[in-house]
Formats: sequence, structure tokens, C-alpha cells
Amino acid sequence: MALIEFDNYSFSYLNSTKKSLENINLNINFGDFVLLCGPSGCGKTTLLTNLKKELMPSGVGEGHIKYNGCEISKLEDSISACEIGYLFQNPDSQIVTDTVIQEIAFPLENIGLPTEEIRNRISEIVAFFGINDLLHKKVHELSGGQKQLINLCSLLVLRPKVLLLDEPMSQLDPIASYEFLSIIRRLNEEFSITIIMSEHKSDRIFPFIDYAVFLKDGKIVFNNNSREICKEVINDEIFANYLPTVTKIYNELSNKYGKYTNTPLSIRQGRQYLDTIHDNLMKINENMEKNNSFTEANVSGNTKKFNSTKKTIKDILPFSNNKDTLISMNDIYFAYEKKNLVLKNIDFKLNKGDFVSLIGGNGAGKSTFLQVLAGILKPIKGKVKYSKNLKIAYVHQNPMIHFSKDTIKEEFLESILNSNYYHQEEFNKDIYNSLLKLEGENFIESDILNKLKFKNINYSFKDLINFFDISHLIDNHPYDCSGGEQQKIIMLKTLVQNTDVLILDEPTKGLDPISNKNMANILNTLISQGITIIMTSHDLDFVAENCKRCIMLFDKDIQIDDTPKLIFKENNFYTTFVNRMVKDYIPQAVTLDDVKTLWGLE
Amino acid sequence: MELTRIHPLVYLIYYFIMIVFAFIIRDPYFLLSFLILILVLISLQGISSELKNIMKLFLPLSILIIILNPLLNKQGVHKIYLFKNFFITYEAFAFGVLMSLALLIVILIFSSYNRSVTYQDMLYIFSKRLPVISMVIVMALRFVPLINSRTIEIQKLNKLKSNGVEINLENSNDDNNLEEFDSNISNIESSSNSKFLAKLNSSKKFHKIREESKVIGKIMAVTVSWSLEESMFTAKSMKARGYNAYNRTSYLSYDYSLADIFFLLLIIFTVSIVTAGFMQGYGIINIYPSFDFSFSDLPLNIYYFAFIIFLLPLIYLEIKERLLWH
Repeated sequence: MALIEFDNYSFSYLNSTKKSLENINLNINFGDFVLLCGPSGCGKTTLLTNLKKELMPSGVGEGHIKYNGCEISKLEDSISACEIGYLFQNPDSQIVTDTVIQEIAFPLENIGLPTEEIRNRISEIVAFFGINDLLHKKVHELSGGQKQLINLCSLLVLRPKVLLLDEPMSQLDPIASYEFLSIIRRLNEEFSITIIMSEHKSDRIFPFIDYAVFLKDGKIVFNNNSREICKEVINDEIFANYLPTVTKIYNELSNKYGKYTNTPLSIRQGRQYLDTIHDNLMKINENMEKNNSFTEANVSGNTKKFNSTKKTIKDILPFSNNKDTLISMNDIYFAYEKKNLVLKNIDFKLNKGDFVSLIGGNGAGKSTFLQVLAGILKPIKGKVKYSKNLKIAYVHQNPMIHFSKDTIKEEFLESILNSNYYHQEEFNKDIYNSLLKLEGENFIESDILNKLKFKNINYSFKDLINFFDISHLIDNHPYDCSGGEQQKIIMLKTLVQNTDVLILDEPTKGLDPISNKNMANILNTLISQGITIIMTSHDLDFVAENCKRCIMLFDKDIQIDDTPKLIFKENNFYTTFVNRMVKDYIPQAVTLDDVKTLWGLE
Repeated sequence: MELTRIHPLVYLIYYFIMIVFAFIIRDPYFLLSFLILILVLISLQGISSELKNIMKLFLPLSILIIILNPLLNKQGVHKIYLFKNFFITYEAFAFGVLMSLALLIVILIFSSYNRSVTYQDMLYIFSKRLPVISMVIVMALRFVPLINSRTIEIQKLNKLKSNGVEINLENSNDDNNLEEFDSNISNIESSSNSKFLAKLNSSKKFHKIREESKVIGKIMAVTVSWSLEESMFTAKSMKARGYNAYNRTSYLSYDYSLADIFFLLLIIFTVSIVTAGFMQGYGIINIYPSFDFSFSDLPLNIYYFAFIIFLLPLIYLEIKERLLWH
């Protein structure tokens, strides 16, 4: 008998005619590792919360969900609380108490265990995870990854049989994600805990899941084991993006060179496949070298372009000032506390039309770099120079904190009011109020707004809204939008204020593959319109595919300043998945498109 | 103290009695010995920078008490003429000195208490009687640093004007226009109000204050709404982990040890003697209307010694711990 059974289950939220889940039929066995995928708002979270009695959203459910043969809503409190654990996205907001030991003890205190039993269970979990050092620390001293680990511990002390994980790694950096994932895998392998997890980045998860469930508009579109589902979704417009990079390359190659016994899911399996068609690939390579040695020449030419970040004599001379330089940082030192430098001896020039990405390990000072650049933090030594009439926009990692109004249209109006439109237009409080009364389409179509001209963008207001694809949100509260949508709204807000430089802190955090593509599209369009963008990112694939210039921070300084292709070509470990897989054959290929063109797979 | 564990309830009783004593005792000898022993205890427990800061605040305050009390209070028999018709009384002066001494002692007792009993121990004492309140305290302790860090992030954004966009970094011209524009708006706003407000609005200083308070208000509003939004998840996570389904227990456990019993017995023994002394007037000296005290009258009686012994056990334990470490 399956541990969890969905029997033709449908669910719609209160006051909503739309069904958020529709005719779900799904059986999950004891010890399964299930991955839930789908674009934002497809019902992943709704499905997960419906499995937990305490979190069941208010609404109407039809059909049945059974846990161990018993209807979820009729489960005993103790069983639901103990056996089904639920981990939320944001590590910060789930923590209730202020020290680690208290947080781990919290659920045990809740279910009324005697003190001795509580202490036994804590000591057990502490020994298993090796978190002795953290035990008496204050929660706010921990890193995001450590917080999520503590949250997990706090669920595990209850000895759950099922763990429901709602994008648990979306707020973590890659290293912390690796660690978290390896723990989840261990729990599944060694303790046979059933795991149902929703996640966007499948590269690391696919190799060891039992099956994947792909949801779209509340319906299960695909549901199969990991290898079969790869074959099924090859031609699906949306879900092909959710496959691991290795599988995507395999799919391209297998059309030309024939299939492998198993669909490769990990880099290791991918390399094994490449070995089987080794001769074919070498032939292409030889041809390529004969035909055009110009790619190499091109590459070596590029290397000189940004390679030296330190000043040359030419830079120091006053007359060689580049007019296109918007922001220049000279000999910047920064520290939050005494004798603990975060940035050291930074020299950096941001030129007009640049699309720069900052990469580097966790705590390398990427966010600090951006905040110094934006003028939010004052450097201890050195000066940041801005060109005249420059407008800078900074978008925080957590876009939520930019909002202060009740609706999104009010946010836009405020931005327009704040920008200097009063030069050209009569945009006063009365117009503001009259616009505020308009709703939805009427607001977007209103003449006053569409007459506005923006300095850096050739679009009208209506076109901008449609281009960013946020017309359906215009009357909503900002907090009701997803993270990606919030990012887009803030960016639009800065655009109507005629910003020249857009400084983005982790715009790709927690985005699903489709939103990721949209974001890339938006940023590239803005670049083509003449806006300068600098951003941080942990998503190396995004950087490789889109950015023109890439800066790696290391040891408080700029280590490399070059095009992303060259950086990832040279790197062995800190590089894209594509590059890791095809490195031995074509080291210069860092994106899927590179592989396609170089191997002629169009 | 790490090598001896004393039950938090015993600590609570002990420190409570100390504070009561500090308020009752008015005998200079008793108070001075009290102060010296507390100072010894604190220095053994380690002086923190926090204490130093409190002392920086307290010392001017105590001087103020010593000066102000005789100036405002003319009770007492012994008059000391400073000028022709202006006098202070010896009693009022003595009362001021003893008052500030007692206050100093109370402050020192509190900071010593903080070092002996952590807030977790306190929670343990209260969690059985008042489980809800102790839970609220724990959550507040989590919330304060959280809201602090959130405010810092929001403040950062406000250094750039208007939601993260800096308007015209190096162009004063436009800035002026902006102000003009702002005042236009505020004029429109206040046209329905009284003329006085309009006048105030036009004055630059008021305008600046108004702007600043607007910014602070906005920061607070964003902080609060962000925190409220996040706390919905906190509530969900509490519920998901079985909060409110059963009677809560505590992971903290303290057993009474032999040391606790000895400590308690010592407290009961000495306190009863000292209280008997109070009944007979030892340790409590009437200051008003007449303060008759000479330093040659050494309080060599059993009540004084009992009082000293009452103050010694923690000092003894601290010294013993030092010796054990070496």
C-alpha cells in the first residue's frame, strides 16, 4: 500500500473559481524521493500544504488524500505533527526562538515529552549532524545554510516519516545547497524517510530521485521515473527546460550519434556517453581546427582586453579619461568593523553599456561591492566617482523591502511622481489621485501615463508593462507577487525614474527556468537600449549565457576581470555544467548554444 | 561559575533578599561593607563593558543626588550654614550619601545577578507557572535582533532616495527644482488646512524636519509590514511543529544538589539573625529628625557578622573556582 495516496484530488482556494489543483492522482510509496517541478504558481506549494493538516489552506477540496490509509484532515494531531515534517523556503522566518538548542527543542516541548527524553533526542541529532559548536549560538549569528540545517534538525527530532520540502534551497548559495542536498539524500538513503521536494534547479537532484512530477496549472502533466521522464519531455516547450544540462546535451547528441543504453543524468554518466562516441567527436574537433583557427586567435585577442585590472601608466594620466566611464572606483578599501577588511585595493571602472556580473564564493564581498558602488556604503579609503547627471538604481536581494504602498499601481505612480517629470508634464497630486482610482486595464491604458517619455527606454508605459509581463498584477498587493515578479516590478519602477545604471543583487535567486529565461531576455533588451547593468549571481549558466564581462572577487580583491567565456574556459571546478561535461573535447564551450554551434547540432 | 551549579530559584531568592537589604539598611558600616563585598564579587565575576557604561551614567547621577537632596530637603536638626541665611542640614546630606550608596549597591547586585543567572535559567523558573509568557519572551528575544537587521537593510535603501534610485547624483539644479516641486505638493495638501500650516510648510526648517520624519515613518512602516508578512510563516512553522496541541514541557532541567541545600540553610540562618537585628535597630538608623552616628562606634555584634556571612558564599565559591582552575 502506498504511504500517500492522492485519489482524484482537486482543490480551489476560498473565493476563487479557479482550481489550484485539478484531478491529482498520485501514489507515493514509503521511502520514495519525489521531485515536484513546474513554473511559479503551478500548485506545487498548494499540493505540499494539502499534505499537512496544520497548514491546509482554507478552501474547498474534492476527492481524497490518504496518509497511511487515513484521510489527511482526519489524522490525529500527534501523527500529523510528528510524522509529517514541513520545511519552508525562507530559513529566517521559520525560526521561532533565539538559540539553536531551544529551536531544536521547541517541537519536542510542544508535544509534551519529558525533559529527559527531549535531551536524549537533541543529543542524538546533534551527534548525527555534528553541530556541537552551533548548539549554544544565537540564531542570528548563523549563516543562511546553517539556519536551514537547524530548521531541518528541528523537524527531524520528531522522527518524521515524510518530509515536505518547499524549495528549501532557493535562498541558499550553491555551497550551502550542496550540503543541504547531500543531507537530504542521506536521510532518504539511510533512514528511508520519504521526501517530497519542490525545486527549480534539477542538475544535482535528478541523479538520485525516484521520480519526478511535473505540474502545470494545477494538473500533473508528466509523472515518471527520472530516466523515462527525460525521454517524455524532450519536445515539451516548458518542461524541457527543467531537465539537467547533461541530459539536454545528450538529447542533442543522440539525435545524430545514436542513443545510449540509459539516459545520462549526472556528469559522470554524461562523460561515459561521450566516451562511446569519442571517435565521432574527435573528428569534428579535427575539422574544426583545420577550418578555423580563428576562434583561438579571437580568444587570445580577447584575453588582453580586460586582463590587467591594475592601473597602467596610461590610466593615471589625466587626459586619457574615458568619456564612457560612468562609475569609477579608485583604490577602495571597505570594512564593517575595525581591522576586518571586506574590500581591499579595488580599482574598477563601469563603462556605458556594460553588462557586468560579479561572481565569487559566499562572503567574498559581492553585495558589499555593489553597495559601495551604489554609494550606500561609504568606503573607508578611496573614492567612488560618478559621471554627471547619473542616476543609479539598486535592487536589493530581497525585493520585498522596496515596497511601501498597498498596490503595485500606487508603487508606479509614486515612482513617476518622484522622477522629474514635472519638467515636461503636469503631474501633480490631483492627477495622481485620479489615476489611482483607475483599475487594471484602464490604468495601463491611461493617456497620461502613456504620454510619458522615458529617457533611456523607447517604450511607452503600456509597452513596458506588457514587456515585463506584469499587467495582470497591477491591482495586487506587492507582497502577493512571487520573488521574480517583485524583481521585475522594482526594475520597472527604476526605469520610469530614468535610471542609467541598474545594480542588481542576485536577480536570479529562486527563479524557475522559464522566469530565468524571461529575466535574461529583459536584461538583454535593457542593455540594447543603452542601460548599464551590474549584477551578482551564483547562477554560472546565466552569467555565461548573458553577461559580457565577468568579475571574480577573491581575497577582498578583483581576481579576474574578463569575458565569462574565458573565465570558465580556464576554470576547472568553478564553471558551468556544460563546460564540465565537454571540457576534454571543446574547452571553449560554456553554454548549450556553444556546444550546438561547435558540434554542428542545429 | 562553571564548576558549581546552583539552582536558579536559590539564586533568585538570594539576590532578592540582597536587594531588600539594600533598601532597608541605613547604617553606614553595614552599607560600606555591603558595597565592598559586592564589588569583590563583581570583580571576581568579571567586569563587563556594559557595567562600565552603566557606571558612567550612574556616577553623575549619584553626585546629583548628594547635591540636590540637602538643597531641597530642609528636615533635620543639625543645621550647617553655607551663607548668611542659607543652610543645609547634616541629616539631609547624610541621607543623600546613603541613598546614592544604596542605589549603587542595587545596580551592582543586578549586574552580578545577570552574570549568575542567564535568561534561560529565568525562563525555566517561569516556564512552569507561566508557559505562555515565557514563550512570548523567547520569541521577543529572537525578534529584536531580527527586526534590527531588517531595519538596517531598509535604511540602506533609503540612503538612495525613492526606493533604491538615486536622483541626480551631482546636479544641484534639479535638486532645487525637486524641493520646489515638493513644496508645491505640500501646498496643495495644506490648502484646505489653516494658513498657519501653509506658512510652516514654506519655512525650510520645518520642511526638513517634515521630510525626515516622513523617511523615518516610511522605514518603520516597511519594517513592520515586512516583519508581519514573515511572521505569518513563523506562525505556520510553529503550528506545523505541533505548538498548542499539548501542554508544553521544557528541555531545561535543574535538580537541587547538596550545595543548594547548604546555600539555602545558610541564607535562612543568617537572614533570620539579621532580621532579628533589624527589630532591635541594628543596621537601621533613623536619619530624620536627628542623625546621631559616629564612626568610632564599631558594630562588633552578632547581627553585623551574620550579615557579612550572608554576603560571603558566592565570593567563597568564586575564589574556590579560581583555585581549582589553577
